[in-house]
Amino acid sequence: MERDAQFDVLLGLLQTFEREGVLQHLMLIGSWCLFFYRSASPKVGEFPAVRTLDADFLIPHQRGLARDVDVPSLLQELGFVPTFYRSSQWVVYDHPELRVEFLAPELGRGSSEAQTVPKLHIKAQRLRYLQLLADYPKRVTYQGVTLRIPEPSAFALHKLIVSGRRTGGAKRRKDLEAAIAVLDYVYAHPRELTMMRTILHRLPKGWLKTLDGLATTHYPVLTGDIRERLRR
Amino acid sequence: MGSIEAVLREELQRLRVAEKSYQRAMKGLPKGSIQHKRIKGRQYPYLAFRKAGKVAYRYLGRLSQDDLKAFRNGIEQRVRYERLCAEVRKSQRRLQRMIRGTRRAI
Repeated sequence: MERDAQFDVLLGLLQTFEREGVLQHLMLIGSWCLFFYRSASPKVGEFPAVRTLDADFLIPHQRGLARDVDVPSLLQELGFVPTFYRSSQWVVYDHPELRVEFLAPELGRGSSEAQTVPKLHIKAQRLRYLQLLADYPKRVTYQGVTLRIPEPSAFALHKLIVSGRRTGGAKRRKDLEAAIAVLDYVYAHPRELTMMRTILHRLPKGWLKTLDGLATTHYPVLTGDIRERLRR
Repeated sequence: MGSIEAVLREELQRLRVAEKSYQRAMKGLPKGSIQHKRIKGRQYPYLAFRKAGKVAYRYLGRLSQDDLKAFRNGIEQRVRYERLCAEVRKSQRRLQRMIRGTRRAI
């Protein structure tokens, strides 16, 4: 729970993944991204200090995975312990400071079972809308580690869209807070705004309609951009 | 339930699961330390461990150097997991106090 201890565990994990050639195939998503956006931003207070205890790693696709790396063994050497979810056959890795989860985009009709990643010896949970993050990566370097995180605009749109699917009130609130904070940042920076409009231009109409409904309630400024895209 | 209390409860739940996972993992790992006994000029590996307050020894059999190394790694992993499991329990107690504190504050 202590900030430094928790961050040290994450940094140690990122360094191990980089050394073993795994990190280049993963994307760090979830609230930890806010920490890296904040560290890359010269202005203090642009991003909220909210973080979760989960470190979520997205596996965008398995095509580039050439080397066989035993990720569970690497995690166990760092003190992580596997926790099994029998219903979905999903495995997460727990540590006193952090939980590591592997996720993959759910495509097509989807499946309730976790996706096996044989090259990394892991199972990833399939979730909707993760393709939105996978398609817009951003490279950041922090303390000598280069990692991929989603573009802030993709992060904000994803948080907004998943907040509509949440059933738990607290998680929904957390998603909305993160989305609104990053959208404020996007609208304050022309480069980010251009990126967001590009993303909106490429999104399926169904997703845009969902976003429009959520933006009307939570971030009305965004509806202008969404409706312009929907009119075309 | 407030946002903070919900986050604390979620973390407490995660730590309970983590404790169980550590305990399950430790069940499969050896406990004690490796000691070599010299009998008639030859060394024989034994596992020394505590059983009902007394030190007990169990002969490990003829192990190759690699097997012995793997066994030693298992002991080290168990010691690491015991330390981390203790940290998990400590964090649980702290979170329980925090949850009680948030309730009182409300």
